Amino acid sequence: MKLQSIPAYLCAIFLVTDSFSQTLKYADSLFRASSFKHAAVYYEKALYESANPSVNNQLLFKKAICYKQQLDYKAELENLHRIQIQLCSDSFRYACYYEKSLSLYLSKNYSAAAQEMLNLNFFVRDSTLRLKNLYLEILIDCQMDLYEEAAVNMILFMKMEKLSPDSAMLLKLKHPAFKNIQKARLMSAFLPGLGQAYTGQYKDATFSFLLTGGAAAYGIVSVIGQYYFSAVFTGATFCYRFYAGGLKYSQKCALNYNEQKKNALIADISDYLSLHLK
Amino acid sequence: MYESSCSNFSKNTFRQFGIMKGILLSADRLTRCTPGALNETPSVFIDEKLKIIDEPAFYFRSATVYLKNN
Amino acid sequence: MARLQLTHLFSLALLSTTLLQDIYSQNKGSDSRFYNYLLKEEMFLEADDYIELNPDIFSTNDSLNFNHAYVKYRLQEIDSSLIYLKHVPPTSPLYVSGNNFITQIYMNQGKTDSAKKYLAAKKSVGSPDISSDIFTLQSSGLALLDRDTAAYHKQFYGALFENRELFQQHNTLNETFNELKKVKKKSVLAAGLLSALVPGLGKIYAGNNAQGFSAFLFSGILAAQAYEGYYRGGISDPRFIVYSCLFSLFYVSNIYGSVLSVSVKNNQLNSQINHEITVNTSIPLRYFFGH
Repeated sequence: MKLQSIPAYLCAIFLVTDSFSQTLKYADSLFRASSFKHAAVYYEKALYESANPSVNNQLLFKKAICYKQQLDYKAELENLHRIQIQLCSDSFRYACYYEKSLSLYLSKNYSAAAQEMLNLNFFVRDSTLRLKNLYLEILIDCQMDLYEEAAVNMILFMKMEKLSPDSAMLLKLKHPAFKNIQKARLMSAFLPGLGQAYTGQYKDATFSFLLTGGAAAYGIVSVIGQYYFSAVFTGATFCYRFYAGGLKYSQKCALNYNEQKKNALIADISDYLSLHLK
Repeated sequence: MYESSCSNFSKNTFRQFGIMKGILLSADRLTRCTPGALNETPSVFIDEKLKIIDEPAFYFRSATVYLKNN
Repeated sequence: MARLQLTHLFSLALLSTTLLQDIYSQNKGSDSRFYNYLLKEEMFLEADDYIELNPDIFSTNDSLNFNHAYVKYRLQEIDSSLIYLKHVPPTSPLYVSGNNFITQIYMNQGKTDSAKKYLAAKKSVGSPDISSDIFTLQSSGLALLDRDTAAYHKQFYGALFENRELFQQHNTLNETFNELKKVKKKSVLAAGLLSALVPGLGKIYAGNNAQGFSAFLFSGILAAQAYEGYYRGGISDPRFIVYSCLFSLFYVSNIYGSVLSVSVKNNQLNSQINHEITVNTSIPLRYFFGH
């Protein structure tokens, strides 16, 4: 054995037993084997052992993806927030903002998801990446009830995918078939139960009308019979309670109706987008 | 004001303690349904949504209630 | 030449073994440093997982059990925590600390007898560590939980603390004791009689003013309507019959509710005070064992 080969031999030992690279290799193997819970711990360990700041962001991103695979969006976000975005390349920055927006969307925090999407569009200048986030952007706009913005993004999506404009889809977005909540309340104020009937709840409408009307009738009959305490404390009180309750309930019915329509619309849009996204 | 609605409280009382106690406690619960009850309840019995935790068992158990861990 | 090569090979082998051993122990040291880092950053889920995958980062089984128990305690998995804590034997240096945790867990669950069993185990004498301070704090807490004023006085006035923060915690416990002294025991009979006299008065006596007033209004309104029915239509008037039945129901339920509300109020106040006691005694454990 030559003396000159000793340094090479020592380097080899060092490389083979270097803690950081071993940990990272192990974490990657756990990730590939879908052991995401364990992989997350070892990515954190690799982060702890890492001496290279530019590698840290990648490790945090991988750790966040481990949590995403376990459907733990809160933990995913916590780790994505630790990434130093200002040090990243455009494509990596895009991935971070996109994942943040997606995890916020999946955990139903739509306003925060919209904010991250704004950050993505502002800080990432590469327009070729735009198409992928249009899908998510349209869904977020719909969840936030911003249908005009969703329609504009949908037209952009159709242009980028070179699709002929689907007028039926655009019409659904521009004029969604929702019920007006204030109108439901006003209708119930005019006639108890009418607001519920407007939103299609005919049984509740009849019930509300009979209860309010019954209490009012009892009050009137009591006044005629000179039973004034009964008229006030039973008749008028219950009539007021049922009337006020009916107003609130008609608003709730309108909200429920709109919620159902919105979910159906979002499902339609999601199907359309996933069908056409190449 | 309360975590469980008056009707749920009644249902639970009837189920756990019978008709007589159910009727009396339900009527009592109706009179207790007032916003001022929140200020009179110790904070340990108020949940994160600022609703009072009120169970039928509280009225018939002699031991002090130990709630969630610290 | 061959002898020279053999010598080189032998030296290399020796050097490699030494290097590998050194790297192995450094890695082991780095494993436990990483574990401490997870505790410091309060990443208890990761710490729990890491211990399960690498039990050998701890030099002894006792240390493994204790650390696993601490992580489970912080994750609120109390049953698992207890199991690990009870595996730490009396011969271990971590036994006293383990007992501190077991005592605290039983105090949180209201099992004061079980808590005392583990508290009475060992008190460190002579050495300036925090376990004797924690023993004093927990003893005072237990005396308060049992409402044993004599035992509490004995603990409090005889207490000498090494640690300043624990001493302050002990003083906070004394404020809870002063609060406890102000709690007046109400009479169930008095509440019932007062409610029979005036609906709602029994609840006001028990300390529920708004509820008492609401009960009074309810009964008053029903009584007024029953009286009106009787006045207008006599004893056979349907309104009189209906409202007087309703009034009777609410009147009786108010008496029943007032009687129960005294014990409910006592229970609620007791629970509030017990909660304050156990929070005070548990804070030092998190602080001292988490760092």
